[in-house]
Amino acid sequence: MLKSLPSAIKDDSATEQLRELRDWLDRHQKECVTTVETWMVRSLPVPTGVIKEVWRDPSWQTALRDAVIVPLDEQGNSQRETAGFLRHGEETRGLGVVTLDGETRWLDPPAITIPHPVLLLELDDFRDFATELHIEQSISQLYRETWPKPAKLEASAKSIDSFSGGTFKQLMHATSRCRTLGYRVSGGYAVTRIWESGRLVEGRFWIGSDAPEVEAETGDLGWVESASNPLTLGEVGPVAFSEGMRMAAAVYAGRFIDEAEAS
Amino acid sequence: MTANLLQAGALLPITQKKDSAGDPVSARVYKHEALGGRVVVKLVADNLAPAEDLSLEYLGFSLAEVRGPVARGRRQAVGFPAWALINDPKNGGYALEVVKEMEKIARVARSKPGNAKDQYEGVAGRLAKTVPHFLPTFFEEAGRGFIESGNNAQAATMFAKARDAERVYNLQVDENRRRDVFLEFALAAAMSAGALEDYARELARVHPPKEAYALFRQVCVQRCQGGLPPWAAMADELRSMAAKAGLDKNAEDESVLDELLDAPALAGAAFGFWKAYEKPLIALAHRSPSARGRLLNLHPWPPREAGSFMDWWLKFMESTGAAEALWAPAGTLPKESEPVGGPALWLGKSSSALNKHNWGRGSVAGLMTVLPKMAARLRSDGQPVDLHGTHVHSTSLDLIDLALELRIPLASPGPGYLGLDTWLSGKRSRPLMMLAADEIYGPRLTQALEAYLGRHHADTLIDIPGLRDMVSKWLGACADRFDKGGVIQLEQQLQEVDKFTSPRTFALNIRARDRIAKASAVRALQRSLHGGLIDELGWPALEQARKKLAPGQQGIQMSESWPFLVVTDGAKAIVVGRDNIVLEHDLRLTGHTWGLPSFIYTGAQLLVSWHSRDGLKAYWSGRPAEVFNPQQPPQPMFYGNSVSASFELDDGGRTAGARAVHAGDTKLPAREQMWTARGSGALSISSSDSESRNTTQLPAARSATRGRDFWMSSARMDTTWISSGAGSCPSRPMGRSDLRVLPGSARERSRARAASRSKRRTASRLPARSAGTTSRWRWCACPATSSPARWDLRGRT
Repeated sequence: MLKSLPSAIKDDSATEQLRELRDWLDRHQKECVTTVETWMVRSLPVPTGVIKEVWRDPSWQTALRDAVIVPLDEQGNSQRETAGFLRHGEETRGLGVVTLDGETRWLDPPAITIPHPVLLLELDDFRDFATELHIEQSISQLYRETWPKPAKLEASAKSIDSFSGGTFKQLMHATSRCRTLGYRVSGGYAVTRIWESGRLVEGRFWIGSDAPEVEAETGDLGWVESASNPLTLGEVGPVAFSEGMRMAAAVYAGRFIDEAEAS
Repeated sequence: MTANLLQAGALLPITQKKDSAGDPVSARVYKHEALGGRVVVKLVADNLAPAEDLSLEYLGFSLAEVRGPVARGRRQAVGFPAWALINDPKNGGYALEVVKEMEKIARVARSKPGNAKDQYEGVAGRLAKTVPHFLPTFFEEAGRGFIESGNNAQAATMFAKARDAERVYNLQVDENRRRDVFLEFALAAAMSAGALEDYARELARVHPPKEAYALFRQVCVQRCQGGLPPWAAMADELRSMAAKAGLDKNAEDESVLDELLDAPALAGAAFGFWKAYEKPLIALAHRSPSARGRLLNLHPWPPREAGSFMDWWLKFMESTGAAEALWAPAGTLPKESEPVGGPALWLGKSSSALNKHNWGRGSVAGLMTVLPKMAARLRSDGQPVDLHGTHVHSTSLDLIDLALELRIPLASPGPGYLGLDTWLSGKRSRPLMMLAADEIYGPRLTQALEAYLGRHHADTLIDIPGLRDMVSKWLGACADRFDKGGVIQLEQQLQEVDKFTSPRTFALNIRARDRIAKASAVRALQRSLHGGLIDELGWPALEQARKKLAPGQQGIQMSESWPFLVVTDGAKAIVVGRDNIVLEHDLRLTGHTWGLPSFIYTGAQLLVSWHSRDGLKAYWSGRPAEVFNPQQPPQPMFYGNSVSASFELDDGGRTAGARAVHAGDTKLPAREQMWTARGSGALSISSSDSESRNTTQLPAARSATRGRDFWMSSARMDTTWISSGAGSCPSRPMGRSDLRVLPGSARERSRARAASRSKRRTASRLPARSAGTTSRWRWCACPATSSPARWDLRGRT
């Protein structure tokens, strides 16, 4: 076996093309996972036909396999009793699903949703079952960090300051952390867009808008509707709340901690 | 509902015939020669399909099958070529022609941005000849590519070119689309400074004044709500457009401000913004309690602002009436106008903002005026004020002194020196009597003063009433050292007295002067000889180890693992115990190394750690083949101004104050000085918790040092290694127990363990950390007053 590619082959244009193809396939795989996660986070209905068609692409399969799905009927109502792990999709039989009872069922509803874990009533049961079956999801659904709304939340407040005051030696450390985590940075905020109960809500976590090499300090986490209108915490839905907190916590976790601060 | 769903990015089933919103989306199946049977499926809107096919063709894919349409999706017309294909399908071919080329350029955008820009311009030149109306979206797409690769300057250039094309070819513009793109690039920080003014001008040129104003106002407001602070000239620009539109200036100002006040980005607004909007803000605030509250809680700091902003801001707070909530009795004002977390927190935030932005050189005049008014409220609230934040050294001593005089409850300062030097060089206004007399700040002031006097002349201090007494005490301590020190210290002390004092200084403490005058070199020499010279002290095991080493240019390095000493010459490491050599280890450093390695000996294993070109490396002597990055180097023997010290715990772990290291650990805790001793041997633990700062005397340490003076009598050993934890060691030849530390006896070791256990107990008695915070109790180190000892083993063969 060769230790490395001979340079004649390494620099050949065909090799270059193959390398590009490989990179593109990686991106395609990530894109599939991101798309499916968007469907989940926003609780969007997905036509069954779409799932059946994309299933032939291994990248889509990887992204979709073992996601917990809930079939929707013609009226768009959830059929919770047939919710289960998506194992297969094909044109004739429809979607192969393993339900919590351990049964494999073939379903062909008009559409399905991939619910956000906050909305999944039997979350614990699904988790137990997933462990039993050694199921590993590509999307972060069952083991997603969720932040239920605390009972004693001040409903009229418009922001949460639990993650404020985290410092980053340079703002770009914060922005690149956001990017790695998959969050868009807009203005001085890390943002996450959530679709919930008929409206588009944006969670915004302040990371600062100075020059990239200047020290930055995190600020409040808030939610806005239609791009700018701030919502009170009472108005924020459970998914938007959870996703906003998840984002802020993840960004905040990367803050600079001065270990040798004492002297 | 369906429109909303589409906007959120949903795919709708194709069967819903009655409602036909959205574009049909098909599953396009592609194949590739190199991938055999594996297919790739993309979900693509039918009207954008040709572009997708071309992009994939560039990579060598060919379309095998189109399935569908399978759903309907949102019409996406933002980018290029999508915009062209949808808005001008007849000429779509021109856009498609350049798709492959764009793919290619995007690939070099990161590595060769200049090159990519030229190529984009080349393509644009071709488009301009036939389809100039494609240029704006084309350049924007190119800009997005640059934003993606982090090159915002090039992205801004592309954005400017898109706008240029609109002007040059006098293109019809969809204002909603342009506004969205404007915000997109502005919020991505990819916009040049003049672009907004250009935009205002362009809007004014194309639209009637009212429309132009409405569009521009929206961009200004959304830009700020999106997180970008308003720029200084924004007010002027908006006002002149509003005037042209014939709108009421005051009403417009107030409505803009009302929308802006919620945006945290406002805290970074230019000073010019506040000055321009001063009057309408006052009017707004007088009417609206919530506006007052929002202003009060904003804590703004304009970029590049000199120290006087805070003074201006506080006056402004008074004229808006917002400051009222800082001193009105609790509960008497509308809740939305109150400072969040109470006036104490507000004051702390304001003071630490000043500390942070001005390094202690900003004017505190404003805060000093507000403080007396707030005093009664702060006293009745009883909530301690943290004046320092993380910047103890930058906090104005005047402010602390005044707060103490007003009996305002204060949180104890965190670690760090008080900023005596900054205060002395600034505009000082108070005699510091309160500070000097305070039981927490007094000692901290002494500490700062001692550090100051080691570098500056004492006469600069004696005119300050609060410091006079402290200088006098310092002179007394000097005299003590003359009386008790050895001959080397005598020389040092003489130099210090000569350099930093004058007869005027000694007028404060005539007794000290007399004692120093009576100091005798003979007696000092006597003390040194009685105490013993360092050369008289033997450590046979260490000398035996020294004989086995063959130091090269880098000499010999020592690492401590009390009661063991690890010495190395770069080839061999020897662990020296009290009576004998405990371990000899032939080093197995792989690859490149910088300097000599350092060590931790614990659980009968040696951790070897060294710096290499690829970062820090380490292995445990038990498994030398497993090299890892320990994240932190082991504490060197002499670290900064102190000697490090660690204990082995009963379970075989070793701690220097932080998490214990056990043999086999692949991650070391951060460097932390546990303690060092100074003069009186007083040690303190302090919490780094930002909310409550407590300084606690450490009983174990106090009993260990028994209040002794830990100053040592040899210049070569004048950093006391108190961590022996055994202050009660019998006197040694040097008259003190200090050198005793190195080869400790088994009894001392067990005492040290007891000390470390009691340390843990002490820690557990300290207030529990509050949930969710990251506070950590740490052992606060006070640097010893003299530089650490350096042993030269090379000279001792």
